[in-house]
Amino acid sequence: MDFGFSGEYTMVQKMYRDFAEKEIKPIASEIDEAERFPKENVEKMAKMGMLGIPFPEAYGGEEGDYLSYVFAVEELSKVCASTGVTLSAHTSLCAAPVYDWGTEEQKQKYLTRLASGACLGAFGLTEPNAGTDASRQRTTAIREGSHYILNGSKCFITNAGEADIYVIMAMTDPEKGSRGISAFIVEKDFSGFSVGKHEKKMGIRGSATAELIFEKCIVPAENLLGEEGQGFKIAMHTLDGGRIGIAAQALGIAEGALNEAVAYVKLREQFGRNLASFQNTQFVIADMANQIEAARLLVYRAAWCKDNRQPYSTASAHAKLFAAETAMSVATRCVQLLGGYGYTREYPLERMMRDAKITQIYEGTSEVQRMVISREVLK
Amino acid sequence: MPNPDYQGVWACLDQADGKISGVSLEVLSAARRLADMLSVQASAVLLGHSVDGLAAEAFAYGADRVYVCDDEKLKDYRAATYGKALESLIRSYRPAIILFGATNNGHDLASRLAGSLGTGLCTNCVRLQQNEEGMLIASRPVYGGSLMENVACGGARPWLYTIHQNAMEPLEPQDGKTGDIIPVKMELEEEDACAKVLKIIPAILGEISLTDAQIIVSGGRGLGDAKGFTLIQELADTLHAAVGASRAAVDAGWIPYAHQVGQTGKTVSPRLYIACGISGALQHLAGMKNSDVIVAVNRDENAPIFSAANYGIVGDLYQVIPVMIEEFKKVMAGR
Amino acid sequence: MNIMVCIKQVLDNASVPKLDPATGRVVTEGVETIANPFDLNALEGALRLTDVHGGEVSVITVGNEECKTVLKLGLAMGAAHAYLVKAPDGQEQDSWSVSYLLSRAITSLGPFDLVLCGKQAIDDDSAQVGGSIARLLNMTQVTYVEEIQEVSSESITVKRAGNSGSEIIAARLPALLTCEKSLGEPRYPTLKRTRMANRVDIPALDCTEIGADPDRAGALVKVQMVYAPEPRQRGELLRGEPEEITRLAVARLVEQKII
Repeated sequence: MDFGFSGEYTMVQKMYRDFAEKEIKPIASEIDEAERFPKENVEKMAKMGMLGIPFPEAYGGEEGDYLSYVFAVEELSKVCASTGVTLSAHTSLCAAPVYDWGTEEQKQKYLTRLASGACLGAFGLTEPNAGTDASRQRTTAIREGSHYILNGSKCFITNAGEADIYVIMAMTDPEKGSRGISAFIVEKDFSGFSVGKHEKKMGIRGSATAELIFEKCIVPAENLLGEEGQGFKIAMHTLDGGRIGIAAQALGIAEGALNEAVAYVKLREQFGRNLASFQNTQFVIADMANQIEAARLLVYRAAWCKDNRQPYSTASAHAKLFAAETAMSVATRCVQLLGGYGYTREYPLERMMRDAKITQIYEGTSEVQRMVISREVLK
Repeated sequence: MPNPDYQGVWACLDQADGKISGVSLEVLSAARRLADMLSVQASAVLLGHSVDGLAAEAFAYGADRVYVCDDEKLKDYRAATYGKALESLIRSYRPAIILFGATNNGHDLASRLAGSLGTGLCTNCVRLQQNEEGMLIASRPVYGGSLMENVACGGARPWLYTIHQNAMEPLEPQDGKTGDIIPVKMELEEEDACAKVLKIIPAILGEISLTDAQIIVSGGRGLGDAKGFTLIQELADTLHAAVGASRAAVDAGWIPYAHQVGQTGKTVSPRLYIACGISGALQHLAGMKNSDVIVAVNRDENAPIFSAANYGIVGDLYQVIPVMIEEFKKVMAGR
Repeated sequence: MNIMVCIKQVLDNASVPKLDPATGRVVTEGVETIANPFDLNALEGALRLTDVHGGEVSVITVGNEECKTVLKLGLAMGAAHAYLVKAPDGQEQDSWSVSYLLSRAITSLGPFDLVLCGKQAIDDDSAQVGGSIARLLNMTQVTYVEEIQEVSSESITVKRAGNSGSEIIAARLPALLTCEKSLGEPRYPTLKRTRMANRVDIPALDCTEIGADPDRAGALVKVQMVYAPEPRQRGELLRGEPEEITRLAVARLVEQKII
């Protein structure tokens, strides 16, 4: 068992940290305030190869592993969770299923554009009536000659409107229930595809979240991802990987919040001494650091399982559940440490607290993670 | 330990446009004091073209002797020609110690000499003193001013030092004082220069350079955008001050790098430093905390800048600076 | 165009260097290190030159095995070769000895059209190594370069920060330049290049291999003591109505004849 990173991983981590500190952090609060999607961040990440971290060079990727990708999401989320999820949704939810399930032609056509950063990706599963119960898809796909015709809508889609390529789930055979769902690659310019209402959110306000609308949307038959009826399996498998990305985002938020709070308590003086010298502060900080350390081990282990072709469904559920709960509780306690200042928008902690909440909800709520874990424990 | 073959303290003077630079007068004064401490002679070295008229000023500031090397090829400062001239002067006249100004040209020349002579060089010295054992100890800031170190040269002579600006007070000039002028002829070829100064772009007229300024007004991320520097400039104009900036403001593209104060920018020590909307990152503090008086304006009363400030104004700079401008204008008008 | 860039590993300036009271030296153990920022500006300048004019960039440092980290960063940014120069055992190093070792190494690895250094290291703030190497190698020397304007096979035109303004200088090659930050924000390494850099076997050269005399490769300037400067007295914090406290602050400055 080896818990030590090689110099290579340390360098990779530092490289993403430098990038996040210099390029992303300076605008994090502005994009939150303005609820603006930072296209410039995506361009910068693309230039640095960050949009194709775990994919082979042959498809325009960086030939890295999942752990390196986790580092990237973690470092981004330390300073800007919105940018973290933008990368996570693109990589784990769009590029990854194309890589895992796509034909050679599909990979050449779509993965190369996604991994090289020429295009941004998104993933559409959730519908107004199909959230946690994702098998109740109402969006339909009917085969007509060389095309499928998609009708229906998706909601809460990360990167919606900003992405060029979407992996979309739709019912091809309603009789078969979840086995009647299929996955499709949809380009933003396909006829009948449009982006609907943009959500006004509590947190991650610099990320784009909107509705996708399919009105007789024409998708070429060769854009079927996997086989007909494999959609639900593809979606679940994709979410297993996606959860590691969100777990990394949650870990990053918690670390970022702790960093801010630590800097503050060292400076802030009350009753003639700095806050760091009070035992309450010390204990709260120790507990937070302790939880973060545990979350980090779970998140890195989940990535390690995926990299080493071990089963990672339960590992990623463990990682996401613990990291998300840690992010929420750490961010809340950090706001408390800053008191009134923590509540104001002068400091980034209230933003981090708002951002943390979503990690307990999307890509499988904490309750869903508990279902996955208990199923494994009680089997 | 003293080497009898090498005697005396030299001050290598910077000159431009027929004037000895301010820091060079400090360097010469330091050489005078050091020579007195060691009971040796202090000499000044003037390199350049049409510089013999400057010897009188060198005597007034304490030189016993002035070496003048006047050559057309020394008109512009260039490492190779100045280096060659000084090297040959050193080999002929053997000083024990040479002081330079801690300017770009001073470092350029001193580092080149250190390479050719293989002798010790201490840059940016703020103090030169003998310890109990008679060792010459130079104190210099390191880590951008976060720490100080005391260093001592050993080995061959001469030992070289560059003297930090504003660190050593110039002496009162003694007009009419004279001494020996030693003209030195050099065999310099234009070919030796290896470099040609095509053009000198003087600092913009009216713009006060950061390193020379007595007052600096600096802006940081708290300005919110590039336009904030208009207000900073207005305050600076009111006080005849230079404009500085934090790294955050420079990185945001609000103002050119030349204005950056801090460890990766310029280290400054003006009489008054006014920091507006600068939180006080370590690297910034390192570059300005030797200012005589620091005034900080920041909305966040926990900002680290206040730990260095003599006067900390907790408030919105867009409310504070206009009042400052108005008040300073009244003060200036009363003069 | 063949360019050598000299890089120094320094302590991370994100935190205040700590003093070890027992030794009177700066604590280096367990402290994060970075590549000297000005050296990375120099490397960026070098890479931009080879991007346009072709050729290769090499990076070099003096130190121990741990200093290979900054060389790997150099490779990850785009350098083609990296060299570690091992300082002789038991010899304290200073700007002189580092200049001497680097000049010997550069001679043995060369020829180079350009040697680039940062204008100074942010730990000892010496601003000395560049000029000394230039003299030891008898190269054209231009320090405090703000901008590279033109390059031909025989010369390079640069803008230098001189004492009384900026100077435009045409310098004969080979030349040594020391670089200001304005030479270019260092590019980010990519994951691919970082992985490659970690697989490269970086040669560690000793005195014999570079033809240096170990007896000359020791410090001429010895550090006697490192100490913290006098802390600034904490001043007065003014809170209240912006107008009122601003007037008060200005009045204090006038009273004390600062204005």
